[in-house]
Amino acid sequence: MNSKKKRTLANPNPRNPMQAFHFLRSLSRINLSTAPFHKRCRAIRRAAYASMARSASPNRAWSHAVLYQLHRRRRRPVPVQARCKTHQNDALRRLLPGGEAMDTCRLLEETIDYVQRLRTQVKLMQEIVDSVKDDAVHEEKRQKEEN
Amino acid sequence: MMVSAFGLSGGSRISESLCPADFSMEEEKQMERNFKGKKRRTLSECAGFSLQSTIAKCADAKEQNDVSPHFVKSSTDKDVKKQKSELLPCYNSSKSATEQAKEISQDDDDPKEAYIHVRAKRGKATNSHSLAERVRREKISERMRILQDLVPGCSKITGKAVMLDEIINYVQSLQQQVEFLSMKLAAVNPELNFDIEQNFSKAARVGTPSVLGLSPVFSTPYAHYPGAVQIPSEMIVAATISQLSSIAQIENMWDEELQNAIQMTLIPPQQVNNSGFHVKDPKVL
Repeated sequence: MNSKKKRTLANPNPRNPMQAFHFLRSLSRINLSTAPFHKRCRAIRRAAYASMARSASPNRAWSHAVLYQLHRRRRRPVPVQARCKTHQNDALRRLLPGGEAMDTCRLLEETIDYVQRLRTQVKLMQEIVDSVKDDAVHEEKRQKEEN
Repeated sequence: MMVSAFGLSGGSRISESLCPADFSMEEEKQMERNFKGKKRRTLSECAGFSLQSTIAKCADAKEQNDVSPHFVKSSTDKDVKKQKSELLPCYNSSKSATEQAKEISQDDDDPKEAYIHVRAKRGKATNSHSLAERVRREKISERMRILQDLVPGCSKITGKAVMLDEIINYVQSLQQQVEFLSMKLAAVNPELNFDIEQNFSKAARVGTPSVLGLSPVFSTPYAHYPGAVQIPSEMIVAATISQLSSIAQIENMWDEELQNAIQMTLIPPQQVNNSGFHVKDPKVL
């Protein structure tokens, strides 16, 4: 996941291009490698989160946590100490990467950003899959017509 | 002078002394009523209305800063009442008008730039802890409102607990979607080549990746998010894993034959255009 930082061209939608760019780069690199299926799965998933985290603005705590996790290949950071409130916000903290040691206010801020990026990531991946599927369907039709 | 407007007779000139742009007609009338009836109490209420908007507006107009900083400074109700009583000449005429105006304008410079002043509303606790607490609560509720807009189908929920549950469900479903899609992409991928440079520099046309036989697989029910339903992801995942692995084996057979037919795939422009992504909504959301 060591893609170089590259300045994209001017785009009115500032966040999406960087995220899409990082993801597609990692994706193309994964494509070219000849790893088995499940490893590619996991690599793509890591690439998705990495592209989300990289395109995040640097003062977002969750992005650092995500990149740290991915870099160290650790499944879950294990912070047991920083358990501020053990009630309603618990589940949200567990969901959000790096959400254990944050107060409620900041937690909500981070979830806003995280949700936005997750959404764009999902849309991006869905778009890729759809475009492939459409092309596959066209390809099938063409080959049927040829035959 | 500004202060004299607070006299009983000058009720109509209140609008001139205060920031005229900020106070609406109703507030002015209310202030007129103040000086006839209960003067001090309701005046503090009126002042509490356009609190933070006055900070910005009154900061520019220097002439109007004489009186309005009173409404801007962070103070408790008691302090305000004391200041008002000083202003109202009928109650306390010890200080001259110019002195009051001066000490008002002196305090004005720093606070308006340093931080947002919070005004203790009438009838609420006024020590510094609860003020800070209220600021914090307002921040939290503001963020909850933003989240309410983000999460689909949450416009009618009023309540932090339920809202939190919705948010948690939504984040979980999004994460599951990422996993699911990454599996799909892993199955699709060996034949796809992305040309990143051209992708971002011009409108791209769609190439033809040679991936066959995948469409029946992807008709599995896509994990979407309807309301508060938990998605049985394990079932979907297990089903697709078995299907996709079989497809992957078939793909390996096709590889050699399709190598020559592979072209450079350019992502269609709808992925990187301004208006966001073209999403088939029933599927995703």
